[in-house]
Amino acid sequence: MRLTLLSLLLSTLLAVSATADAHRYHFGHIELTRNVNSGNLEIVHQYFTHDFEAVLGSLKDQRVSDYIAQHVQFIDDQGKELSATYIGTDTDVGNTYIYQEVINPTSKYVDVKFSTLMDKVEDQVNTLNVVNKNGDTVSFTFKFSTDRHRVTLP
Amino acid sequence: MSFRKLILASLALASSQVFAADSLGVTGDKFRQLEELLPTPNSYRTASGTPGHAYWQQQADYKIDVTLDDNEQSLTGKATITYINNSPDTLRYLWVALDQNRYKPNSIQNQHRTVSVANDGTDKISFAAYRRQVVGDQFNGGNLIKAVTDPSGKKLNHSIIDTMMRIDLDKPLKSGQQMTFTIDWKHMIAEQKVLGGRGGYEYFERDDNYLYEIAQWFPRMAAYTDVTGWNNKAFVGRGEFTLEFGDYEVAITVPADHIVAATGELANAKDVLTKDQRKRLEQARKSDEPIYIVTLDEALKNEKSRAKKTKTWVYKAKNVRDFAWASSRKFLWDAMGVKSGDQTVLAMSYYPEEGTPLWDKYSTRSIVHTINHYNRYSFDYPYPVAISVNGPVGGMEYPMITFNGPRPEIDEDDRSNRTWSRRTKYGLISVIIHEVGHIYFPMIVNTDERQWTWMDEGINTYLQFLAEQEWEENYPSRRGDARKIIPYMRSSNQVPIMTNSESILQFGNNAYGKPATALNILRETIVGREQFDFAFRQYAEMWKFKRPYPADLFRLLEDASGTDLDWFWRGWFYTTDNVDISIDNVRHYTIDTKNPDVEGPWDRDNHNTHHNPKSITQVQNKDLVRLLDERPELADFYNENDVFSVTNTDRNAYRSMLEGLKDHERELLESENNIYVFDFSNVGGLVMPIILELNYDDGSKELLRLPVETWVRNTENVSTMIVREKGKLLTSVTVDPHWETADVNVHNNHYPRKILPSRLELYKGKKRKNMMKDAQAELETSEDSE
Repeated sequence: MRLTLLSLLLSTLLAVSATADAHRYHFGHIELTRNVNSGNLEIVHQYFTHDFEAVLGSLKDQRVSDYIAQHVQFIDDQGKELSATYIGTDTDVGNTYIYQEVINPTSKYVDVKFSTLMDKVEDQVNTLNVVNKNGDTVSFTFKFSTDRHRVTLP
Repeated sequence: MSFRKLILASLALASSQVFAADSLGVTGDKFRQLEELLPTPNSYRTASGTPGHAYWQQQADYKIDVTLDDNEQSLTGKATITYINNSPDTLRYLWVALDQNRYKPNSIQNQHRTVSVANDGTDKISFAAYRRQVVGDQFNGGNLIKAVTDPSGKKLNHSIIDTMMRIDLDKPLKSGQQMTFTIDWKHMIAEQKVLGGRGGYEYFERDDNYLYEIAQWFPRMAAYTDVTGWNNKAFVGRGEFTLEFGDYEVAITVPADHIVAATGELANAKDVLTKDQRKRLEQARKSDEPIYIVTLDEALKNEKSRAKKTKTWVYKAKNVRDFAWASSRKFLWDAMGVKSGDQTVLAMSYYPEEGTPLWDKYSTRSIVHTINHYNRYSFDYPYPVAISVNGPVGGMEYPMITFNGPRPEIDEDDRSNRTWSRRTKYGLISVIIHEVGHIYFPMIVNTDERQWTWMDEGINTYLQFLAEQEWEENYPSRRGDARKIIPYMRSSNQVPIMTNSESILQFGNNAYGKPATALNILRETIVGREQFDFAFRQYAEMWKFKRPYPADLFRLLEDASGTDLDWFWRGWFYTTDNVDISIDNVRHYTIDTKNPDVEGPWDRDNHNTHHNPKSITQVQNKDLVRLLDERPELADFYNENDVFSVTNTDRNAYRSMLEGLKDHERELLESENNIYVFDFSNVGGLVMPIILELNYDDGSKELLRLPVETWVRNTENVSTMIVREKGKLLTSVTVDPHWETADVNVHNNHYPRKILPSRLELYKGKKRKNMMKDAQAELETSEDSE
């Protein structure tokens, strides 16, 4: 088989090995909820601004939106990609939140690809939490090697 | 909220409450004491968490000569080690750590790395991973041990197992004895930016210079302890180091135009520093702002120099557990003094011109700030110097010296044009606070990093948070505040904090964020600032220059604070439960006075208001003319009295009941208090104090903190009661109003339930904030805005 080499942006600047560095976070998070009023699927991303800016430089909307579209995908039970509308980005020195919305999806489950920041650091570990109506949370772990999971929609 | 009467009943009835058959299921295990999990206390470590009367630790003193080869980036050294066996045991061999061996192509670290090639048909690998493998396989890394000899020159038998070397002794080393031996070695220095690691060199193409940060570079005695025996677990990458204290004398030979920063005090300043530099250092000691020892102009001049000769810098350090240094001809150097107890510590920074002007402004000041505040919470910084070096390493700590990465952006067309983002600025201050903080934990409170990352990272991140908050108001700390850890705490893909360093899934959250938050919650919410600060200072004082393990910390903080914390250690450190306390119901009662003339009308009114809405037939028949309206003579007693009407029989019964009561019982019966019963459930599993904000209809607020022991008999569902005077009518209740417990679900924190907007709805509702855009916008004139 042929192996494809992928560029990790800035990878040479970010040490490949763990150190006692105060800045190591490498944690990405998506919370998936269904809005009880609208029936829409609400997608709230959270990253550490430090990590995120290191990939994107300035957090301009177009840039964030393109980047997220490339790294986060939802395929429905018919095999069609759900269109997740980019709503906006909210950022402070600590955290960056990114908001997306899918209008009233009817699919029972989605196949999620969630590889945000994995093009920067290999030990990036992303977590997707599906928060159901009763508050129960189901967690999925995404890593460089396993950046896809089938997720039952809330 | 429901509104009901509360019936005062005799003791006989109260004691008839039913206990659950499944007592374990009800009481749970959450308050069980930790004794069974912790090692048995002994004469080395007490049940109070302090060092015991027979506490011991080994000592290793080093005398090292090392030469840096700037042409091939290598080190050649000779270390004479004096090992003092303070243990009660006889040793037949010694273990020495050779951490550079992790760079050998066949090291465990190189080979254990599981490769991340997706097996879903995409068959992809990162350039970085592939480059590291290829370069790693080619790099001739690792310690080349040339000789291990005793003082007479006789060779000592030794074998190397990955990053560890065992030296076999001809004659066993008995308790109280010491021995001296010498190791000659050489190793190539790794390029940090390619191979990673906690030290290495950085190459600067512009001026063709190298900057070296040298760490884990000499053969270091492995720890031998009462808890683990020889700590000879190989260095695999994450679990850092566990070492013995000792005295060092290190002679570092470098090109004559290099500046060397190192652990310890410079012993031969006259040989290596100019008269001017020595004078400036003396000024800096008394200065309250940083003074340059090497200025920008001097550093730029040095950059162009190419010395043929060498100089030897001799550094001496007492009672340190490691030794690191940095060397380059690129260094600027500034310093200032900071009081620590009775001594003045020299806070110093070394950085290439690429670090200016950010480093001049913040580095040394950040060191001083750290010492001022860590001293308050732990102990006086005991060493003569504290150093921050800018080089390739992002952030790493050693005794008296730290390596810190952030630099400004440089416009290559105009190198004087330098900018930095907020994250670079605060990132630099934070990383320096963090790494200098590590000089206290674990360089002085000498925890075992190879086993327990959290013991130094978590504790240090906690103090870092306190120090950051004292830098400026609303300092953007990234860890410490309970609300920051919520997404992680909610996730079920966690491992407990009590997990070995190598096996942690999400390193930053697990070993830094969660333990730091837990300690902050102990301070702010569970124990209180005064008592927690006292207990924490006890821990730091009792264990400085000694080696505590988790059990010692757990025991000591509990012992000194006088607070049972076993439930907290169990929940936060041994499980992955989270905090989610729900307020399910609030019941409002007043006392049933049993006086028929009071209760009869109350019952009627309550029945009609709450329990007997008009039926649809009654509503439709509203204007109907009935028979009784036309023939009133058909009415009798029952038409005038309903079931709530009071009879004299009722009144007589009441009077005789009153006569049978004691005075205090009669008083209680007549109280007109409002009684509220709160029903809680513990959804997340972690038991925590219940913090309530009570809002009354007179507009007043009350903060009520129920102790964690509220959950002691039932960790899943509890009800508590409060009594408030007649006029105090509760309108709403909020659990954890300040978000101090990391409660992962605030939707069930309100009674009555509130419809809270989702994060996304909140975002849509608020005006976008883009400071850069705002700053660039042109000022509108009044005409524009019309």
